[in-house]
Order: sequence, then structure tokens, then C-alpha cells
Amino acid sequence: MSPIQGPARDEGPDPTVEQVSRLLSGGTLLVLGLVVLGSGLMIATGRGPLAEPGPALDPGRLVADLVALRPEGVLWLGLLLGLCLPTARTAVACLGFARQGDRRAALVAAGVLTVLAASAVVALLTS
Amino acid sequence: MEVTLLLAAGGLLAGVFGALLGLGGGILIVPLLTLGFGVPFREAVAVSLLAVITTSSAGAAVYLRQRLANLRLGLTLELATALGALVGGLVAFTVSDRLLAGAFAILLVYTATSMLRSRSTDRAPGLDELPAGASETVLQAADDTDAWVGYAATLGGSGYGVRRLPLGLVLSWFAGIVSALLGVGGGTVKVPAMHLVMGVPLRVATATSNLMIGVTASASALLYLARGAVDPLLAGPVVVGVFVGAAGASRAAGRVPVGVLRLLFVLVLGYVALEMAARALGISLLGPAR
Repeated sequence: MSPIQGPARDEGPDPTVEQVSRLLSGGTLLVLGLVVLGSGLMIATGRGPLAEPGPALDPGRLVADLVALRPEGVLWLGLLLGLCLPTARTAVACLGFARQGDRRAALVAAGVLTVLAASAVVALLTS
Repeated sequence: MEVTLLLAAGGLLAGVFGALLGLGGGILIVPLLTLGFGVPFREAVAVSLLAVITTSSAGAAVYLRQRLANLRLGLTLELATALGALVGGLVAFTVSDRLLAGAFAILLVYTATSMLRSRSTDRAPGLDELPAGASETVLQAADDTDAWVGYAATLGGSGYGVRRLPLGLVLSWFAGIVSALLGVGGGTVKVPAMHLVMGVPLRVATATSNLMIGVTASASALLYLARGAVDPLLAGPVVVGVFVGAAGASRAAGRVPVGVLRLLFVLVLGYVALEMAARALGISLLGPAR
């Protein structure tokens, strides 16, 4: 059985791949900036990671924690953005492939988004 | 403050080793947190998942720009890894810590053995140099139907094709389960699956596996988050450490004697596997620092 050669995609840059790459670069920098800031605030305020039970995620308090520059607020925002980044890049890929007319790739990306959504629903239902 | 810095330093070390040896930091973060800091197993897995998501996102951006990672192939396999991660994330909360520690010990032994084996193949021609069909004799599980072949044909890249997609999907599903249960990227399963089974060049397989880690890990991290297993104060310094370590090490990769490092790493893995096995059996060899 001979391997199947893929379609030649090397004529020029793939706009969807470029968009996904840019999103991941920018997103990672933002996430890292927030996590570094949160860790710095943790040291500055004398909070210790293992000395107390970790603060649970409370969406209602997140804004207040951020405004007050509490380490947990900044850390939660950074970690949640990091958690959302793979979903965001899949959504960007889905839209990009759809715009390019690559229906099959768009459908696969939509399938991945569906599994991620199912994961979120299962997480909420079983927590 | 000392604990914060120690956590960051530990993460840095895990990131350095992981990046230099192409394993990702996850394989060391869980033992570091559980054995070194006395963190409960599932909390350690949650932190590890968040750390591998961040490093994988950063690495994937570069690999996509360099056209090493195959986005279409990655998305296709992510369907399976994310489903596996969903299953693994649910299973993780139904089994005991000791069972998870035992499973981790097995993963460590498997990884150490694979590394020792790859050391002996370093002298042979690189896997990338093998012709695309050379691994065909290794696994003769090719029973692709026309539909699969037709779809697989759209996934290849410049100079290579993709074959045995169904088997690749099954192995990816398994990699997702391993990732969710043990907090690792699952590259130890995905890279051989793509390279040896699906005929993808090693560099592309490694880069695509890195790209896939984000989606795989976030599918299960959501379950850990919803169950309150994520401690942001613990995760922050570890994520920073792993990221800085991995970024620095990938720049220095060409100048480090990887052979010596690999041997040292195998010894560390062996020791950690012993500790994990002892924990699984309920014997304490090393007291937690917590």
C-alpha cells in the first residue's frame, strides 16, 4: 500500500493556519503576563500556595478581585484564558476553513468544538 | 514566598527536561507536586494540565508558523483525543489515588524504556530519513476502506501522505484517556501513532502532537475545574516555571549533550517510578514536604 500524497498546500501561506498561529502567540503572551502578574502579587502580599486551601472559582467575585488586584483574581483570569485558548483557536480554524470553502476541515473543527462543549456540559452536570 | 519560588523552580526544571527531551513537562510535574510537595494526586494532575496547555499553545504557534504542525490532521485526531480526555476525566474521579499512582508508575517505566530504546536507534538512520513506506512492515493493520482513504488523502502535507487513519484515531483516543488520567500531554502515545502507524514524518508528528495537547488537555481540565481540583495559587508559579524552562531549553537544545541528559533523565524517571509504585502499594519511601 503506497502512502497517499496530500494535496499540495505549499504554494503559499494558508490564511487559516496563519490566523490560528497569531491567535496562539498573542493569547499565550496575555495568559503568561497575567499568570506572572498574579504570581508576583502572591509574593508581594505574602500569600503562600500550600499554606491555605486554594480559593475556589467564583465568577461573581472575579471582577471585584481583579479591580482590587487580588492575586487569585488575576491568576484565575490568566488560567481561564489559557484554558479557553485551544477552544478559541479551534473556532478560528472552523470559521477560516469555512471561508476558504474547505467544508470537510470546517466540519471536523465543528466536531471538536462539539466535543469541547459536551465536556463543559458534563463538567457542569457532574460537579 | 519560598514555596512559591520552589514551585516555580520545580516547574522550570520540568520544563527544561521536557523541552530538551521532547516529552513535555507533564511527566515530571505530577510527581514533583505529589511526592515533593504533598499535593493530592488530582490537584497535581489539574495543575499539570494547565501547564501543558500553556506550553503547547506557545509551541504550536511557532510550529504552525514554520509549517511543521499539520492543523487539518491535528483537528481530525483531536476529535478522538478530546473524546478520550472526556472519558478519562470522568474515570479519574472514580478511581483511587493509589490506582492512579500505579498507572503513573507504569507510564514512567514505559517512557524510560522508550528513551533507552531510542538511544540505541540514535546511531541508525534518523526516522525522518526512512522512506514513507518503510514502517509498513512494523504494523500491518491496514484495512482502510475507500472512504477513509479518501478523507486521509486530504490530510497529508508537503512530501508525505497519511494512512491507517482509523487505527490512528483509536490510538489518539487512548492518548486522550492517558492525558486526562495522568495530567500528561500524551505525546508518548501520539507521536509513535502518527509516525509509525500513519506514516507522518517524525518532526511533523512531534509538532502536530504538541498542537493537539491544548484541546486534549482542556477537554479534561474543564472536569477538574468544575470539581474544584484547580488551585490557582498552586498553578500560577508552576505554569510560569514550566513555560520559562521550556522556552529557554528549546533555544539551547542544539548545544546540550542530550545523550548524557537522557541517561540522567532515565535514572530520574526510574526513581520517580519507584516512588509512585511505593505510593500505589501504600509504602512511604519519601515523606511529603507539605
